[in-house]
Amino acid sequence: MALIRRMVNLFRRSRMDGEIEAELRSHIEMRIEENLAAGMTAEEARRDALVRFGNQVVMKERVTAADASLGLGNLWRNVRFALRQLRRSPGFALTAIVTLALGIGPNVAIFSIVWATFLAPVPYPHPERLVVVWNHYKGERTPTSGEEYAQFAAENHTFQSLAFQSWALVHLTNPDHTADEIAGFPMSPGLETRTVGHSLLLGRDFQPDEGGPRNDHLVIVSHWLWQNLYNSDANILGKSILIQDEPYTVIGVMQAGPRDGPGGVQFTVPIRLLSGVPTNHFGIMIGRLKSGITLAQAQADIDAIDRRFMTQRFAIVDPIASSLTVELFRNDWLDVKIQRNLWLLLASVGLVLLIACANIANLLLARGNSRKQELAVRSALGATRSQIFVQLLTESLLLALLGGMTGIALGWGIMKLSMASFPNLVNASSDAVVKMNPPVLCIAVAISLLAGVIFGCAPGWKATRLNLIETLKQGSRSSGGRSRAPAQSVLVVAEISLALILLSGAGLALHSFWNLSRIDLGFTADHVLTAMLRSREAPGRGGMPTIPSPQQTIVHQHQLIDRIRTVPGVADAALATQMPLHGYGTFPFSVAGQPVDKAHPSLADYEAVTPGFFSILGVRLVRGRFLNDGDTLTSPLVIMVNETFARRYLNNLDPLNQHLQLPRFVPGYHQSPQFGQYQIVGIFHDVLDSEHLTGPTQPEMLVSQWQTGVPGIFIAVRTVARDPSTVTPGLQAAVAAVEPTAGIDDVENMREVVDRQSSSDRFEMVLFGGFAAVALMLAAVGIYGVMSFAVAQRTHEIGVRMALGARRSEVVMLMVRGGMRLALIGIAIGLAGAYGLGRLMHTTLYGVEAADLGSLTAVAALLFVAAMLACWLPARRSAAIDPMQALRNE
Amino acid sequence: MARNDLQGSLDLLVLKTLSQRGKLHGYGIVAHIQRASDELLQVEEGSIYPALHRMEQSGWIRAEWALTETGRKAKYYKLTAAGGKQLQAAEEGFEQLVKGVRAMLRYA
Repeated sequence: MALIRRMVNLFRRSRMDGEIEAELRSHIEMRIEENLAAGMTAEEARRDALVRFGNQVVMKERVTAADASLGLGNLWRNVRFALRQLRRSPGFALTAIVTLALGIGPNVAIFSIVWATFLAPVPYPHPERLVVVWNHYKGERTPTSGEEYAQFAAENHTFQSLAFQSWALVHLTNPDHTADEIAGFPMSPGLETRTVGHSLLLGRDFQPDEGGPRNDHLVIVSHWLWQNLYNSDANILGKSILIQDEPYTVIGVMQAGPRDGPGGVQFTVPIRLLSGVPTNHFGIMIGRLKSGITLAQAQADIDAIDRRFMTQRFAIVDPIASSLTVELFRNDWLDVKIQRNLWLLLASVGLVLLIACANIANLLLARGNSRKQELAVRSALGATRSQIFVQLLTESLLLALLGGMTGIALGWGIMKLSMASFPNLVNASSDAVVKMNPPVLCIAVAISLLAGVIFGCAPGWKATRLNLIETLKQGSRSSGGRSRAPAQSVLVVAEISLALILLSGAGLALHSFWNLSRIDLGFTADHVLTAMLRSREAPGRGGMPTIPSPQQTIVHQHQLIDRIRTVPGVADAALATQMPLHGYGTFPFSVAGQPVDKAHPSLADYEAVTPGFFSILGVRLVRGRFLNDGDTLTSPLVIMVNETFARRYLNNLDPLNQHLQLPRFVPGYHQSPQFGQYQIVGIFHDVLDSEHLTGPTQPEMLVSQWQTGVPGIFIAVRTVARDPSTVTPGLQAAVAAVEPTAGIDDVENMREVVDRQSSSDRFEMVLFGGFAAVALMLAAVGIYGVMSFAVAQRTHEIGVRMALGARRSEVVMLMVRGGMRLALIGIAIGLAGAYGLGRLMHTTLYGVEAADLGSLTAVAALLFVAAMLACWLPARRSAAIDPMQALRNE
Repeated sequence: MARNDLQGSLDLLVLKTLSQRGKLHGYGIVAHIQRASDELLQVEEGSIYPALHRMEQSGWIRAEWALTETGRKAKYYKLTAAGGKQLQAAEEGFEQLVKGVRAMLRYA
């Protein structure tokens, strides 16, 4: 209350002034009246009243102070004074604000991403009780089997509800059979409503007994899907939609929410999982703890069931490499590498901010030196040390807030820009919403104020140690002595070393990205479109589907390729059982005539391709020949192997004279595979088959599809068009014409597949590079400022030196040497820090050592040159000093 | 320390005056203290006003403008409930101080 009254008083200052004056005046007048009544003369009565009252001006001031004490009145006065000071030197104010904005903007941007991706609580009721049970295998999160989940669901005592989301996607089918990308998940009944707590807009959730073989054709659609595909049809409940070409009845529509949208879950179908019944569903477990249950209790419960399950099911007593952990449900579905990069980026923008703070502290110190006299006069007039300190701190905080506002705007821009440039970055997590929200803004303001305190304290503290008499006596001339600005020197060294650390991070990221972009893919990704040919005949329902004979399949596939080639924009088409960068399988084989180790059979990836595959993907031939159209069902069986295969398995043999013993593809289901003898006709250069760019290439064997006749298969198309996706509709039409019961899925531009692989690396490189550039600039400006100041301060000394015969070049060198000594110390400290950063970043880098000499040398040299320039520019000015002028100035 | 104690005593005197006399203006308070203390306590009369305003801001006393018997406009102060409590605390504090000082003097 008192505080509010005082604040109100602040705004009624002039009226208050009048009231106080009136009150004091009435007191004096009452005293005069009484004196007159006691018989004094008018003159005596007045004098006596004034003497008794004391100094009116002082009293009035003190009364005013009492009305607006608690520092509020002072604060307002300080702020107004600070504003006036800043307006008086707009150049200084602008430099400081821009510097601070450059320091705060990146922090705001990266923090908003980090906040949304890992820190923010998920927007569901009681997020503290919502958990995910992860299976960890060899340091990676892996899915849990549906069978094991069923056991957890049945036997746990700590979960209010435990649900399962399968990772097996199911696709929505349009009535006209054109393939669509819309995918949904099978989930155990109740996941959305009972476990996550996401209520339904229309209809009901799945019941616990739904999801079995006779009642699983039910679907709940997302709000986004309902709006966009079904035009917000209010009567959608009970209608039937096609999923994998089968009718499913819509029983519910989800609420709009964070999991909603083009990237999120679009629909769910029920699965019922029973313990002891093996399924091929793998996925994650999401649970809601009973209230009052801790994570540790749930963990113990899960561990006990896990041990029981492993013993019963696999007769494994000891825990194996995999383990289950109960973790809070958070937005951390991101790749470990991206997470690590984000934390590193957050640390690096912290460094940028520190550099900015050092810079501003330097500016303030320099300004403090030129304001010495003003401050000395003020303290001579009675300002206490704390008053001067508070005044200077107010100025710093004001600067910090102004810079913070600008920084928030800048950060918003950086965030928008990076989200637009790297849309895949947080797509994996549809629960994350990157935006400027109150927590982010609060942090931004807090960071700004913290920065203000950091850079405001040093100059403030220094100002309170002024030697009054010396300062006043010396006038505006600065003091002599060698180390005239130790604080500034320390700040410059700190700036340079921080900048070097950041630059080295950028150098490492750049080097790694350079390595990645030069990875030998073994194929050409441009102008290639790939798609999955998916049969829409119901799989596995009501008996096995009939598989056509190889002859039939081959005739059909020839027709398909011929038809696709006629699509405008398509140059060539081929079929293959697998595409590069899509993973691999391992098959046992043996080299004819070589001993076989039955316990450890030789393994290699085994795929069938049509001959066009090689030219479309630009695969390079090392020896022998490619597969061609002359290899048919009636000609001798032939095979190609990659270089890794030849190196590993045919080391001392003449590869082109070898035969491989392999299982043959024969339609239908057989107990014992039939083997064939394949003559090796060629060796091709390794094609990356791992799902990661940096993964190792497996030994690979390719046979001709014309000798195999496998049905389900990938299509690869070489296009004339610059953007391969323009031929997608033509491709769909061609496939529909030849294969009425099939459609295409997962249409991908090969270039995009490759780029997606390196997108997190590109993100790291671009942002690190950008922030390092800012840091370099700030550090250079920092040295420049200190050097300019030093030159200005030493004008007199330089004048004396010149008068005594020093040459101009010597004077310049003297100044540069002073600055470069600081720069070199900073670089040395920075190199040590850079090594530490390299160790931290090492795991996210490709082909780069923790101490990457090449990039370290490069960035150190860059920083050295920048520092040199920043020293030389102001030092050059010292050469222009006229000794006579400098000496006469005394 | 010393300054605070002095100020504290002035507060005590003002609060006590208001508790005895009800509504009073600044001049009246000064006059009352001087009379009641047999002119022993002499303060600069003006220095009562910062104290009055501080106590007003702290919520111990309330002020309003009114006319004196002689028809002059003056600001009248009145004790609030919080002020009453404060007076009690201040009196106890003062008793303690006096006891302490007396004990010291006897000890010597």
